[in-house]
Amino acid sequence: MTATHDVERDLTRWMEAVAPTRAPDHVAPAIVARTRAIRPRPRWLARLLEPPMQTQLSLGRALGFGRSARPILAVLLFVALLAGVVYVGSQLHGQQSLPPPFGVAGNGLIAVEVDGAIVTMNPDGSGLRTLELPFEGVSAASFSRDGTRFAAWANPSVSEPGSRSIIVANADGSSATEVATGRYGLDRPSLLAWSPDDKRLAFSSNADRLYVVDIEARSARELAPSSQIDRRRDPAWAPDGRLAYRCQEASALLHLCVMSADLASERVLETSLGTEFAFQHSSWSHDGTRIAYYVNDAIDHPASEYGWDVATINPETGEERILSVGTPEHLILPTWTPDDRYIVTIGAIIAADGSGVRLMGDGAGGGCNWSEPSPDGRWASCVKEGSLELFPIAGGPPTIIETVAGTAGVMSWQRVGN
Amino acid sequence: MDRALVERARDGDHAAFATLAEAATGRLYGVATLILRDSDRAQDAVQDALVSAWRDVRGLRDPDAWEAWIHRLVVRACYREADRHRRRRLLADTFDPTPSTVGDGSGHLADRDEIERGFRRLNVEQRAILVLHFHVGLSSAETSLVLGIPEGTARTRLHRALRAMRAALEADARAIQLNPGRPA
Repeated sequence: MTATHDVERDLTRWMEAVAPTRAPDHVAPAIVARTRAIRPRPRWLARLLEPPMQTQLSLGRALGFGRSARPILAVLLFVALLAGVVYVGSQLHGQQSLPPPFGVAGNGLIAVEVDGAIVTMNPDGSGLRTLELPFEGVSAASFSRDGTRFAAWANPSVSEPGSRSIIVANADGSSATEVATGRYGLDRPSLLAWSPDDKRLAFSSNADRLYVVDIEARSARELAPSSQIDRRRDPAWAPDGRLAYRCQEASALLHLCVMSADLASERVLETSLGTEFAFQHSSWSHDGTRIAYYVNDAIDHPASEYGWDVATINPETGEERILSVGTPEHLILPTWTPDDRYIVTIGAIIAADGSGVRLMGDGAGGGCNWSEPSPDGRWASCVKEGSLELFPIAGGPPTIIETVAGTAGVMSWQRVGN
Repeated sequence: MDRALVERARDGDHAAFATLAEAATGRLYGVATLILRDSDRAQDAVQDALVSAWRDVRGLRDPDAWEAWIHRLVVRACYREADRHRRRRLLADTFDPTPSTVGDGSGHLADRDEIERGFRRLNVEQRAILVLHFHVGLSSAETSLVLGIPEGTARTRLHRALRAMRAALEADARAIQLNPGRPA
């Protein structure tokens, strides 16, 4: 045989010939026996970790940024003028100081998503308000570091099947504008991460491609400095502008990667083994010296059960520390508290020095859909359907705040100046 | 695929899941055997994939996506198996022919052996995309869905995998010309 043969035909025939049509008799009973002893994950956890399957075939085609739309440009110009006037006015009248981009700040509003809309409230649950936005399907709101704006995913203003838009609005919902639109995936594109100077947003698409959006220029570009890395997911900014994210080689091995501040180069960090969902949603400490992430829990779980431990690494020295050995619960999606003393995961608070883990409730993730530390570093939140539980990080019972039915998914806590 | 069974499994009905798993095992085993070219590791991959399916079935939004989803899980399980094997340094270019269980549809045995050798020279991702396309019969769009990659990327990978296969066959032919009587 030579290359002149019809390789496609030969491959098809060869596969027909050699592929077994049935498995050995013991395989199916073994699977049934194994699964009988396992409880399925709760729906929220299964979906939070990674969507099992997109449901629309039309996803993942060519990206399409921007569209010729003079009216939008005119609106943008008007918004820019208005913003300029507001800015000058606020400077003249000496408005409140802005918080630092990293570290401890004051607690502002809490934003949660409810049935495709964003609802804000004060930390005590008062002042509940649905933001009036000129977009539908709004989700995953994320306040800017200075607390003056938020970014979120939304349905595009002009119908475009399979596309999602990134919108940016003032914290009260005013002046909402689209800053990028593309086929990033409908099911779960990643959270929108504000850069240290609040001028850019980083995110990843469902297809694990990494993008950064220049908010002012309303332009998005893909970040792929190395051909050795096939996939990149869930970027997190360092104070100096570097990015940490989950990366995957062509061999399908998962790693934690760091991209330089000029976004021109990347390197793989040496960590403990992580498979399946590991390394998603890593978090950079506020002092910029450590990254928190999660890896396989090889001690408290047999390999077949895929447990996870939270670890930290110093990207300069490579020193890794696993913080949750001895804790069998799934510990995922870590976020540093603003004072860098603790790491909050879904349903748990972990001491960054490795001295202990405190669970926020019983069962997987304490029943929390999302957890996040407060800007002042005193509270860890647990978002539940219709309620928000605030656990004192120093210990003690939670404060339970009634929210609204349909509350789900991601919450964001506004940082304000002290 | 019975949509009602998937919905029942999603609601935690293990008997429904068992029915689905038993129905899928043979097909998935065929896919895994082709990708891994090893019966034992294929069995492990299928078991891992269906255990993952039960573990995460509640997160499946669309019951109609069941078939595509379990194919995704078995491909990922094959990646893990190949990785584990590579780590043990047992995979690389060794010949451990998997006995065929059905008749020879390709004509000459020599051709089949050449295809087998060429296929083994591909990496596991290239094998997977060829198996999904030529054996399972998925379109580029369906393959992209199963692999979780853009459709354009799926087309590109398929093209590259075929190119690699042709290159492997050419190399094999050259080696046989230089060393008649021994396999490349």
